[in-house]
Amino acid sequence: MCSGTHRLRMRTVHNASRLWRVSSHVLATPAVAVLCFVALVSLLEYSARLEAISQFLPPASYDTPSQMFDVQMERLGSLQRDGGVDCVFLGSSPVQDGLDPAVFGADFGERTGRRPSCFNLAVPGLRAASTGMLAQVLLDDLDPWLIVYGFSPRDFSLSAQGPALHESAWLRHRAGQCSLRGWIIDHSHFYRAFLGLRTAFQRNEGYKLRRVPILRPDGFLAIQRTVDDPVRQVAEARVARDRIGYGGTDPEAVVELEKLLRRCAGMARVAIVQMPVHPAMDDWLAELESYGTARQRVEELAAEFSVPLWRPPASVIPESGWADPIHTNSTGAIPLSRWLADKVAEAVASGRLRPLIRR
Amino acid sequence: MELSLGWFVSLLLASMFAYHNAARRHRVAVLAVSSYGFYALVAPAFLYLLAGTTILTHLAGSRLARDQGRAVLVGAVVVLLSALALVRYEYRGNPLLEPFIAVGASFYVLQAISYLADVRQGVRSSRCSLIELVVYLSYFPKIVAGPIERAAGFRSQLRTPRVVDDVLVARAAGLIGLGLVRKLAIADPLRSLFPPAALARPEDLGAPALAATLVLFVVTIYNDFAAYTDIARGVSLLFGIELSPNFARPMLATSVADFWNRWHATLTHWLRDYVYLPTSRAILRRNSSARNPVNFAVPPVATMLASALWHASAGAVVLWGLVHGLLLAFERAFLMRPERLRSIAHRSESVVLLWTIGLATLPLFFVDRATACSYWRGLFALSGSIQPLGWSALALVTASLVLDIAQQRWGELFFLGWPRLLRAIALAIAAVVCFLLADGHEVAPFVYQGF
Repeated sequence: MCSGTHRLRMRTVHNASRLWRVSSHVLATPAVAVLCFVALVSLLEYSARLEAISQFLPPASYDTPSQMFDVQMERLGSLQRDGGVDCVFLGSSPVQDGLDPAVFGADFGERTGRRPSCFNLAVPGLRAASTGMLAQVLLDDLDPWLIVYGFSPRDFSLSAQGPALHESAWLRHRAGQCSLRGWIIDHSHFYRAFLGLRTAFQRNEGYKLRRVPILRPDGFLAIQRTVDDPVRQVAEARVARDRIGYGGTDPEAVVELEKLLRRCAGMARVAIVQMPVHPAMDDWLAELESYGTARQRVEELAAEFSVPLWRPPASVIPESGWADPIHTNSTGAIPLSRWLADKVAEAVASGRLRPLIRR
Repeated sequence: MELSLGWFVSLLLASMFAYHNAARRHRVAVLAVSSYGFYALVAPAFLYLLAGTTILTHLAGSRLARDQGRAVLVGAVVVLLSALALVRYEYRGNPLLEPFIAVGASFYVLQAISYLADVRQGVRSSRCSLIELVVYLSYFPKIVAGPIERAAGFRSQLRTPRVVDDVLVARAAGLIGLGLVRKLAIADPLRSLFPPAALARPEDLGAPALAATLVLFVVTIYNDFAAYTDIARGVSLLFGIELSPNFARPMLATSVADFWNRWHATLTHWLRDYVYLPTSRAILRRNSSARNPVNFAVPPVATMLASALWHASAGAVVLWGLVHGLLLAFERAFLMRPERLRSIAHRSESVVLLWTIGLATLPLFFVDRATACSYWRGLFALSGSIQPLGWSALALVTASLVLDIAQQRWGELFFLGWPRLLRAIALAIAAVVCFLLADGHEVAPFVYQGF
């Protein structure tokens, strides 16, 4: 009894000297806040997925340096929802304005009786490392019948300037370098919508790009202008040396291409196209060591994995079909796309590419 | 130098557990161990400086308590300031871009000086035991960048800390939350909007962008430092110790003197007590005439020069201090007289004028003199391309202002009075906003870690 009283008194004295006198009630607000947080995030995510709301927002962003990519992904998404995408063209600007999905699809349909639904996901300035990573993501997400990997003189250069999509958290995450941010960008429509809004606040190009009339819903950029004095332009570009990099071959680009081809080995669903340039550039390209090395490496990889590698001759494109020495205009894109459709049809017939099966 | 959030939270929880479970007589020792543990994690190479400062201050303080010798005080202050100057010279860098390697030295040296001065003046409540002095100088919630506490108040809180109950925990959480919002949702996003050319090639920017950059600069530093102080105060409350507030909505100041009373108030009060008032007293002893311009010009100039030297020893910053000292003197002499104050219109004009001059001198603070000249040329030429800094910057500056006005009107932690559901919703919204604006990037170091 005495001992119990002593213990009670000691506990009372001890409690009186205790500074920490916090009750469990203090956790009530944080607990309610967690529930509110979950409800709020769910509501925002649901809203961002509603067409009625998202149509008023700027293009959702994957937090890459290219708003063109955001616009292209938005259009690719709507095409996918409308019935799926069979064929995707990837690369930089020469692909975006050189390969017309509509012409390609129509010509291939005429040849084989099955018209594919195609999309041009090329982005100006895209480097080959980004293209390789992106192609692997598309294989996962869209499971297309065919990926056309187009490359041009600058794409494999280390010194080429352009949006480095392959350094973005999203693409890195999708390529296996997992991160929370990459995961959220990949899964959350709301977060992508927020990133799009933030980008729009800083530089409002997304809304404008959506309305550019020459950017067609299938991603093709229908340039109208015609080259004026290509020889002079090439001479100027050579002086500036900013159109094509001289910094050697980007090893990451080669690695990503190899990964893509290794993954698709035996599946016959990737074709590589070396985009043509105006004949006025031939001398310069012959001197470009980095490009020569890159072409050689691409050839080796294509041979190793039995992937078709095509080099459309510049003669396919009429003089009026060039917008400048590297880019074709909408006139030049027609014969080039037809040429490619013929090649793909031949490859399908010979078994080098798998046949198109509409889903 | 880098202390991850995980490390800090672990240390905080371990310290709280030990502190609140320790016997009363051991609590101060727990804080001393925690504080030195924290410092060993953030700046192990400079533990000697902290320990040396503490020992010197303790020895000098003991001597001063006995005989109040002026020579001891002067000698100790000279040694402390010399040590600080040497370390800052040895490891000089741009304080706005990188944290000062001898973390917190500029802050705890000022505390050591104030301790010695108070002990010499016979402020009995200031006299600390060695272990109390160790905690006073190194207390981990405040060592990195203040607030600059006074020994008397801090010692009494060490001896009789407040009971940590639900109300105090709510206040602590409110302060930490407020700090995180200011840091993650306002300061860091604003910092990322700074045009890089403003610091390197201001001539490339047009006058509107340069003017907007000055406003951005002030609002960014304010929110960054206020965030740090709020978090430090919140963390300290978990130990039952209340640290002094450093900011009182400086953007709403109505005069230069008012601004400095609201901005980094603990430094301002330190400068007032140990530079301004002694200088004023010394001058008045020689000439007590109220009309003597030296009487009202020298103390503010000396104070602002001391403030400038504390921030950096670069010539441009000293010039900045001189200009601000003269502004204070000018304001005191001409604008703050009662008959002038009656005219509201005149007062508004003065406020605009003083803010303009204050902002215009800012380039001296963050770039060297040559770049500052380019900045002014661009600013006053009213030419160049108009490159607006965008809606994001405007939205963030507005958010900072709205938060200040709310605090001014309804109190610092106005949201604690709301109903629970409303508080929870506000907390959830704040969490979402912080997450979105922090954007997965690493949190930038606090700006005042650079001093």
